[in-house]
Amino acid sequence: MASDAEERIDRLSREIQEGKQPEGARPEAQDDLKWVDYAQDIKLKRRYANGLLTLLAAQIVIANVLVYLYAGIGRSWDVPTGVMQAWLAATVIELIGVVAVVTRYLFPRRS
Amino acid sequence: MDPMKVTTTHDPQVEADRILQGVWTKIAGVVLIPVDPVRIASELGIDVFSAELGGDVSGAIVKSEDTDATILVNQADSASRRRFTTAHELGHYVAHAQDPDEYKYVDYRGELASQGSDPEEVFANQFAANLLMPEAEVRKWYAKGLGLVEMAFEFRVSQEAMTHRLTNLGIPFGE
Repeated sequence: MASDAEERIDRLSREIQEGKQPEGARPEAQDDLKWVDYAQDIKLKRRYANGLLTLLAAQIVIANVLVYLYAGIGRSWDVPTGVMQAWLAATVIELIGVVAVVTRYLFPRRS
Repeated sequence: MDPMKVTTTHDPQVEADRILQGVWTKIAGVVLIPVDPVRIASELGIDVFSAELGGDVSGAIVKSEDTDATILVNQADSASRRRFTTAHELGHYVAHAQDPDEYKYVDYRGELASQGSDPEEVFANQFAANLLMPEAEVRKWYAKGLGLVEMAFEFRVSQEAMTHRLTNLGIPFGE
């Protein structure tokens, strides 16, 4: 029995290596690619998210430092009302923009 | 695509981790569960075929001189059994990664359960368990509160294989 099985295994492997379609054998199926695609999609999104969050954090730090240099050191906190309104408005708009982008990604609209 | 080269330390956990990190994460992006041993074999240049091998044979790996290795699994076995057999044969391949000579292993039914005393078979079994059920992932999924049946389903292995794995890792589980 064992020798019959081993002879068949030898024949099948030889035919496979010779590029023939061995009779009674078929390529073993691989898992559905959608799971692999899904994992790669998450990895790509994570990379984008990390990069964008890093850029956002850097931009916030730079903006606050510049405001401090301008208002605190440059003008001894004697800042025109228009400048403060513009800065606060820009900050709020930026926050709303980030929240909108994140929530639209997390909860995409479905048709 | 050129097959990836494999070196070996003959430590089944190290070798399985190396394949997971070096091959599977390149395919899947992360240590995706369930691990697909057929896709890993393909990446390594190994053909995997299912065929009628006879009732007492679960699988085999054949490597001839100057050719790639071929893995054969018994088409009469369940999908989870064929996955474990493929991973087991990959263990033989990894153990002989630096061996250019020809070799052949035919695994007979029942030997997996008994573990046997052949160091090569023990290595292949432990490699397969570590490849399909990585310790970190098993602990992570177990911590989510999954039971034996759910764990076996998520990792696409038999309940018997998952039972062995949880026992070997010292993880308590309910029936």
